[in-house]
Order: sequence, then structure tokens, then C-alpha cells
Amino acid sequence: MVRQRTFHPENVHEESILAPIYKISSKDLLLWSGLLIILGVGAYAYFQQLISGLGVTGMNRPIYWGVYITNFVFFIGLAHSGTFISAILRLAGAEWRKPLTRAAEAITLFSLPFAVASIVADMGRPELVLNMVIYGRFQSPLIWDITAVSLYMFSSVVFFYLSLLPDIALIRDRITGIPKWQHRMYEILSLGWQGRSQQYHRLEKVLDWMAIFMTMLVVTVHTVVSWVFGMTIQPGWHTALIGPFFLLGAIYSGTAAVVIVLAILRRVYQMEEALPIDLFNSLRKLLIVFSLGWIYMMIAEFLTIFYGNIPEEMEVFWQKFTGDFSVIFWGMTILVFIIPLFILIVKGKNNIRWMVIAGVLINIGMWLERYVVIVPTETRPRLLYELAQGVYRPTWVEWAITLALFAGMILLYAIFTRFFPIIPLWETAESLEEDEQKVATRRQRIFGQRIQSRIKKEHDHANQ
Amino acid sequence: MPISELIRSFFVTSGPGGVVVVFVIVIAATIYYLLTRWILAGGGEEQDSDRFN
Repeated sequence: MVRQRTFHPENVHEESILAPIYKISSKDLLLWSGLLIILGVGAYAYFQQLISGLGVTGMNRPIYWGVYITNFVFFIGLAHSGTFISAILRLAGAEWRKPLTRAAEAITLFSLPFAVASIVADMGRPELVLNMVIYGRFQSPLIWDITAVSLYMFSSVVFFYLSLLPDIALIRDRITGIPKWQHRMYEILSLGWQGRSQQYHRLEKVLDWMAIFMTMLVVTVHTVVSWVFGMTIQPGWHTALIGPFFLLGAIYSGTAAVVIVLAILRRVYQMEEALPIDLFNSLRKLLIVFSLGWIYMMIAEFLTIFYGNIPEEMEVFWQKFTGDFSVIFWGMTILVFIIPLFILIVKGKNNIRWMVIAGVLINIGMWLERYVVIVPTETRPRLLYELAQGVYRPTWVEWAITLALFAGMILLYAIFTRFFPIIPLWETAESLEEDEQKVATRRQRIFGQRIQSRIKKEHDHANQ
Repeated sequence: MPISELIRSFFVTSGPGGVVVVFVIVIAATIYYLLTRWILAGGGEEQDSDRFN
């Protein structure tokens, strides 16, 4: 059988984008080993928990959700970065997003398994997960959660993989000097992609459809996650605002995570040309908008509680503002809103280092925000707030497992960048070409009339 | 059993929720599989080896 010749759109940055795939350096091995050690410590801690039960954690009546569930909500939030950058901005026609899409989608892909792992860790006995399937009932928001998160994880994998297909085929055809098994892996994963114009047409179409679906999913997932809290009548949780509040926070921390990841990739893999400063400036504007949206939600939430003046609600309210959790609460507000907003407005423009600092602060703050939403309510539950008050101090087991979850996510991400291009070659090929006329002719031949007329329309619009 | 009782029992009995989770995932898997096949089949019938020359 004669194999068809495969076409790959040309990208002027191909060499620099593919450079990380050629070699695994000693620094990589050092990083991976370090992360594996952290994972090992986490595995040991989990083993201890498995043998001795949840008694080795700081959780006790009436506090059943602690650091693990904080991690779960946080990881789900991080996962929204990919869908936001890739699907929502795709639908909005934001062309600048193209070089960022894969880096953002990879965050989604590698966060979600650790969100699920957080739940399993919180359950104590992992086999209990099966009860959700065997005895699942619609009255429980947990079943909505399982449905939404499973579908989201599955759809994210497919969305990510489909957009990766042409690039895997490109690596299969162009890269030489790699181990045989690695080449074989690309052959299998490329599914025989040949780069026919019809294949590109259909791929674009399917990604457009999936973008709509993923946008709906992203709203559903974080809303449903928030409803696990909101559908109880516990003070601080039982509010209609909790869904949009969680969603906005998720997109905010996810976008901040994209800034951090891109800055690291840009520096480590010398991708200054492929990831220009303009991309960071666009993300900076988004972050400013999200930070303002987040503070608006905060004020709306707490002002309503304050004026409602319901005793049970006020007990939790004062715990956050002046009580046991005030340091975390105000620290969180400073880290999520005050310092980042100042940095983004005053220092962030054209300055990646400041933007990364803002991104790190936002993410630390958002983790604390999840914690301060979950734990104070549990220490003062509605029925017991006058009779019994819980105390929660996370133990080393919880911290070790938490660190291991983050290490696992970083490890998967780091390994991925050494085997696959982290900037989509085929999607950025159109916008990175030098010779416009040459590209226009080729585009028409490759992508057909439909794409060509769309590009022309965009071009005319830009000239007006 | 009246139909209203049947519908009610679907929502309040343990079990159907799990069935729906599995059903949703299987449907999604089927759709994604068919879409992937459809993408890969694109242009297969009109292969022209000189197309890009």
C-alpha cells in the first residue's frame, strides 16, 4: 500500500516550538525526580490514611470537609483556564488566543484527575466511589457533580486530543533522531492523519461545535460543584450567588495560572518570539476585569448577609471578618484582589515578571478563598453554632497529600511539554507566516473557500 | 403502578442516578468516536497526490 503524502501547514516558529521534543536534559530529570519524591511522600501519607482511617487527618465532627475538598474546588477552578481560553475565546473569535490554547488546555487536562483524586482522598475508603454509581440518586447534588465532572474530564480529553492530532502527525513525519518507541507512539496517536483539506475543514467544524458544548459544560461544572455546598442550608453556603461566585473565581485563578505557565515555558524553552509580550498584555486585561468582577461578588455576598442579620449567618460572618479565620480571610482578600489589581494596573503592562507575581498571588489567594468558604461554616454549623463549635487543624498527612497532588499535576505537565508541542503549530501557522500573498494562495488551496472568506472578512474589518 | 409514582420513584430511589451517569458517559463516548472517525475520513474519497504541488 502506498502511503499518501501528508501536508502540514508551515509555521515560521516550527523549529523553536519543536525544540523541546528533541532532548530530555539533566535539569528535566532533576525536576521529575524531585516531583516524584514529593509524590512518594504523598503516597506514604495516603497509605497511612488508608490503614488508620480518616482519624489521621484533622477532620472530626462537625468538620467533614477540609483541605481535600479545598483542593478539589481549587483544581476544578484551575481546570477552567483551558476551556475559557480555548473554547470561550474561540467562540468570541479572539485570534490572539491561538498560541495559548494548548498550554491552557493542558492545565485543564492535568488538573482534573487531581480534582477527582482529592475527592477519593476525602472519602477515606476509595472503593466507596463505586457507591455513587451503584446507589446514585437524583436527590443528591453529589450525583450531579459526578455526572458533570466526569463528562467535563472526558470531553476535555477529546477536545485536547483532536486539536493535537495534526501536530502529532507533523512530529511523526518530520522529527528524526528520537527513540523508536517514541516514533511509534506518534504513529499510533496520529490515527493516520494526512492533512487533507477536508480533514482540516471537519476538524475546525468539530472544534467549533465542541467549543459551544464545552462552554456550557464549564458553567455547569463549577455551578454544580458550588451546589454541593449551596444546596445545604448551612450559613455562608446557602446562597444563590454561590454558583456564579465560584465560576468567576475559577476563571480568574485559571487565567492567572495560564500566565504563570506561559511565562515559565517562554523562559525555559526560549519561546520569546512564539509567545510575544502582547499575549501577556491581553491576559492582563482579562485578569483586571475578573478581579473587579470577583470583588463585586464578594461585596454583594457579604453585604446581603450583613443586612439580613440572621444569627446563624452572622456567626460565620464574624468568624471570617474578626474571628478565628480573620487572618486567612483578609490575607485572601489582599492576595486575590488588592495586590494583584495594583500590580496589573501599575506594573503589569509589558512586564511578564510582575504579571507572574500577580498570577502566583492570585492562585495562593484563591486556594485560601476556597478554604475560607468551606471550613468556617463547618466549625459553626446551623444547628450547632451555639452548642458546639468545631476546630480544624490540618495534619501532616493532609499537607503531604496536598503537595503530592500539586506535584503530580506539575510532573504530568512537565513530561507532556517534552513529548508534544505546547504551542499549536497548525493553528498558529496562518497567523505566523511572513509572506502574506503566498499564504493567502496556499490557505485557499488548503482550507478552502469557507475559511478564506472568513479570513478576508476579518482582514477587511481590521482595515476599516 | 400509576405513572406519577413511577416517575417519583425514579428520582427518589437509589440506583437510577448511577445509571444516568454511565448512560451520559457512554453516549458522549459514542458521539466523540463517530466525530473522530468523520474527521479522519475527510477527503478520503478524493485523494489527489498532486494537490499540494
